Amino acid sequence: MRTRDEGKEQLIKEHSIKMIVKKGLDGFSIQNLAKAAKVSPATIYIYYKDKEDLIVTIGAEVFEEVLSHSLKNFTPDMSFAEGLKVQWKNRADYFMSHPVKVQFIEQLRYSQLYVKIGKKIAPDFKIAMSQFAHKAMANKELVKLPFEVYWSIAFAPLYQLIKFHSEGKSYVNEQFQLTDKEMNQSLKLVLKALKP
Amino acid sequence: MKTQTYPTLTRTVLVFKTNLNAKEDISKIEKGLNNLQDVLDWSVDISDIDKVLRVEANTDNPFEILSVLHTEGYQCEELNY
Repeated sequence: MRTRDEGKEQLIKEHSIKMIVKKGLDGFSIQNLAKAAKVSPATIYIYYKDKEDLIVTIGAEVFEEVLSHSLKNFTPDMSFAEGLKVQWKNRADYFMSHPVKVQFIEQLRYSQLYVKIGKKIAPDFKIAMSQFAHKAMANKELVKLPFEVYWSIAFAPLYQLIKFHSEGKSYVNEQFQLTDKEMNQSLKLVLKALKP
Repeated sequence: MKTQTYPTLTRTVLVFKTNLNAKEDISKIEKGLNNLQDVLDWSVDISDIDKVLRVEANTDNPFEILSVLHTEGYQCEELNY
């Protein structure tokens, strides 16, 4: 009986992520993956029906990993300032320690397969974040805003800092490293801006 | 901790290299494969260079599947793991 071998499945997963980051979704094929992972193409088909099934399955797994990481030590009933701080810390931690997975997710986010991936992801994260924001608005800790405006102010500054960090430089400075100092500085301003 | 269950765990996956190129080719073999008692599910990855036919079955004997494709005039060769 040919059963699942978790070691091989993990190997296939890791190589898929690396290869998609390097070559993009169009340049990715089961044949090349098999070569890179040093397994037979037939082995890959034990775990996945086809290329799309592989991308959607692995994509959903990595998304789940990111989202569950961002919910560490976080509860929706935290004060807005405290909760946002935990979110920033968790997201920054994940992005810094898993740069390849983050690039992989970015590739998928703007692909046609994203809708299919979204359907596989448990709604826990969306529910928690939505409860958190709505409770903060009700408690007058957070100004009422359309979602896109709220998100752009609450999270985009962090992602831009992370981007500078991963490039190791910014438009002005040849060297840039994100530390707690810059993060707390920015977070303070974000909280100030979002206060009613 | 979430426990994961794999519904296909007790099934055997058989993988074949074929020359099925288009939907019309697949519909030609559809009936033959669906009629096989041991075949539980199957799909063809036309996007793959090997035009892989993937079959989930109760058996690891590829003979009947090979015969369905050969009867319709297609190439079909089992890929080894």
